[in-house]
Amino acid sequence: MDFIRMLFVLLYFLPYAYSQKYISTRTLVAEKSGGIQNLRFSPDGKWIAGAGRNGDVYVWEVESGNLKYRLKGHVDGLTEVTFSKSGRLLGSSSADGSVRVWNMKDGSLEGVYLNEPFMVFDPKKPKDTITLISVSFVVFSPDEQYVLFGGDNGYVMKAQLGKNENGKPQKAKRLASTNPKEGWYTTITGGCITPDEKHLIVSVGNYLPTINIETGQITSAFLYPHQALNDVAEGPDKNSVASWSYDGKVTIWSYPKGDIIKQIQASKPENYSGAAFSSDGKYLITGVWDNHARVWDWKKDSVVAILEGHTAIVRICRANPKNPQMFATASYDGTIRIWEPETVISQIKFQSEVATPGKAFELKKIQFQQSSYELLADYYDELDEIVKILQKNPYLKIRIHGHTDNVGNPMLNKTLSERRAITVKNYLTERGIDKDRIETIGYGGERPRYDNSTESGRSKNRRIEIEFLY
Amino acid sequence: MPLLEFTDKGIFCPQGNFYIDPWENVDYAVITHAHADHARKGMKYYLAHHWSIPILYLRLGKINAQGVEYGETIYRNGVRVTLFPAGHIPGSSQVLVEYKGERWVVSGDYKLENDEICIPFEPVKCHVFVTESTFGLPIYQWKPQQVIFEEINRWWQYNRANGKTSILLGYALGKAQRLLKNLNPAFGRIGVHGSVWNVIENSPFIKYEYPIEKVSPSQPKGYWDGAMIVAPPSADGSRWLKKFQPYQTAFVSGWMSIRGIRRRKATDAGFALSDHADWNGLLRAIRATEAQEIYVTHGYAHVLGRYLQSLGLKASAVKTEFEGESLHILPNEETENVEMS
Repeated sequence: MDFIRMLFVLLYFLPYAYSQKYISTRTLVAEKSGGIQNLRFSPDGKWIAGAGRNGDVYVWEVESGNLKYRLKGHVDGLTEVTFSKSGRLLGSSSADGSVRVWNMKDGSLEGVYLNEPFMVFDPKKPKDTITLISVSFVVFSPDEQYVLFGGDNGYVMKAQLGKNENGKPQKAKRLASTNPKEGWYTTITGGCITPDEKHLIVSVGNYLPTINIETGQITSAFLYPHQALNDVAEGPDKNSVASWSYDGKVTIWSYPKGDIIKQIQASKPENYSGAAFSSDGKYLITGVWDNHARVWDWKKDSVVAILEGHTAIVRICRANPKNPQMFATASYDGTIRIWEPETVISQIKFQSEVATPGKAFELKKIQFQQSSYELLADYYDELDEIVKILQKNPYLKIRIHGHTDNVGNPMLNKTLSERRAITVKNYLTERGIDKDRIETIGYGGERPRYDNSTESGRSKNRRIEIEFLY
Repeated sequence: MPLLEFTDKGIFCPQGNFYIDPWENVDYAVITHAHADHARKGMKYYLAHHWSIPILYLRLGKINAQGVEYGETIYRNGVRVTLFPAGHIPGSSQVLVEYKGERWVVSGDYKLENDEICIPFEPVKCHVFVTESTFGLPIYQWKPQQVIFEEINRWWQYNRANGKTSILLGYALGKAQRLLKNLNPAFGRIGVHGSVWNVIENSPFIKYEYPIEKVSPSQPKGYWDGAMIVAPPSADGSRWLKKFQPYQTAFVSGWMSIRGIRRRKATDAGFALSDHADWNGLLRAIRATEAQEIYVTHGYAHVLGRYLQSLGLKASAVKTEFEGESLHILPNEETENVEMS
């Protein structure tokens, strides 16, 4: 009996014993985006595109975390961003019913492609304003000749690239209809190119129809009878695709057969998201579980890590196609976070020691006169080493701790220690480190490291410590 | 050809070839909510808010039903259909029908007060509004729900002190969940009739902060002493109630605001809590749509219609087979038998 109870306790705690730890090594902020709806890594893994709920496309460099482009043009929230196979083109689809194609080289607009029209009444607009039917997904054909997209009316649209003048809107042609002969028509919610690169597979209602890119013929359709499908994406290997359904499950399907290989309850029901697998196919990364994302060893049904840090729901996750250890999460908090295993930190060393989180390093060469916060020299190799580390690791932040000896008014000492920390901060910002990456704190005489009864001890207690933050 | 027509089968959209809450067999039916007078058997394809789907399966058996979210659009022959929250019961929807720039909204049943079990009513701007009028008389003015819940909990406490079990009678779908969300668990056990239990099991999106048990024959004698039992109106006077003796019954309905009805219903108490808009609620909702043309259906359609005309709106009453909040037992609403003990 006891054994069985123990087993239950073990089973209960097992999923919480996460075997891996990932840290957020960069936070990419999409100013005024109102949240990020979708994201993609470029095929070479060097760029990240974010789909803003304000209609703007944001492109960052992965390595530095710097914003490269902010592409404006859509007049309603974005639903998807996607790169062409070579990474030369970036496509964005929007609820405004259009798809825009951008050149990654200079961020210029290559073309605008329109979905079918629908006349709506909007009190704010002139009567009989024609709007376009919302687009849910966009992909490029593998030969980069066509852009394909679909949306609320169940049609898959196709347009030839590069034939129109810059930015001049072009109507796309109807390639296929996923609407059934009988029954309700439904919205196409997502789509991707199949592993054989000849077809497009889309999620619509309870089906995943496969459509020939050339002819528009629907060649097969996988049925998911339980709930509506919200997205379809590449599977963990070249013989699979993966769907996300309204019941919160990720389903891995064999392709082209359509057998269900595996199902994972990735989130609570009634959430829209999509499946993403690490480039080695080992891990599944999922969002829309409160404000965190989860990394699954999907073959074992277990969560190996929880990615925590976003302040609003994580809308979607993706994996870097060139780095099986790097994931990205897009959130309604308006940021994308890049996640890497904790082991990347072990490469950062200071004073010949690993800069583990929470460890404070004493800067032995920096000293202050009693009651003064001025630096005693204008060159410090310790501080210059910190500048170098911060430049090399753009995601890294530091906290500067200021300390005093125990002589004098504790309140004044606290202020003094804070000023000492700020002096060091100024030294770093003057050398080009962003002020947002540096926190300061003053402890006064509360945390002596040395004997305050001798002058040499007191002098050593008038000190600065540095803590590395991730 | 108007975008929507009132036919003897129900509200019909000729361009899109679908009905809204039809009462005769048709191919395509958009269902505003799963109450029996709006969701009937015999349609080929059903469309409803996805919260309603499990309830439709429960009540109508094997049907071909598709669930959508609020705001999600469905196109049919150039007509766009979108559901918006109606706040009546979980999953209840207003139906927006658009074609060539014309907008019609069919309200289904609705209330404006946020009951915290459904997504609250959201006014939708339109040219033509088809509204219910179950409580479309100026005498219907609801008290805030918190006041009613306090009265109910006090009544329970009083019965308990007198050694009696309390039986609350209200619709299994919607009303019962709203009551269960607002009982004070400190007063004792909370039990439900099988038909209420079935709805709870099929509405996992409603979370209760305290345990709710299904009444079953296996419970020992005295188990429900001083407890609160929530049951459908059909339980009133049935043999099923015997096991709770001694007990007090109370009917929970908007009609309980009328003294005469309260007397005729022969329950021990009555609480005027409704899932429909009261007079002011109806007027507020109608105004918020900014519609110039109003069709008033079930309830006091003529009274409300005439009042709207006096406000300068183009309003007319329409006969439908919806019952609103019925005083009678609705067909297949509460027919499930609970085993007798």
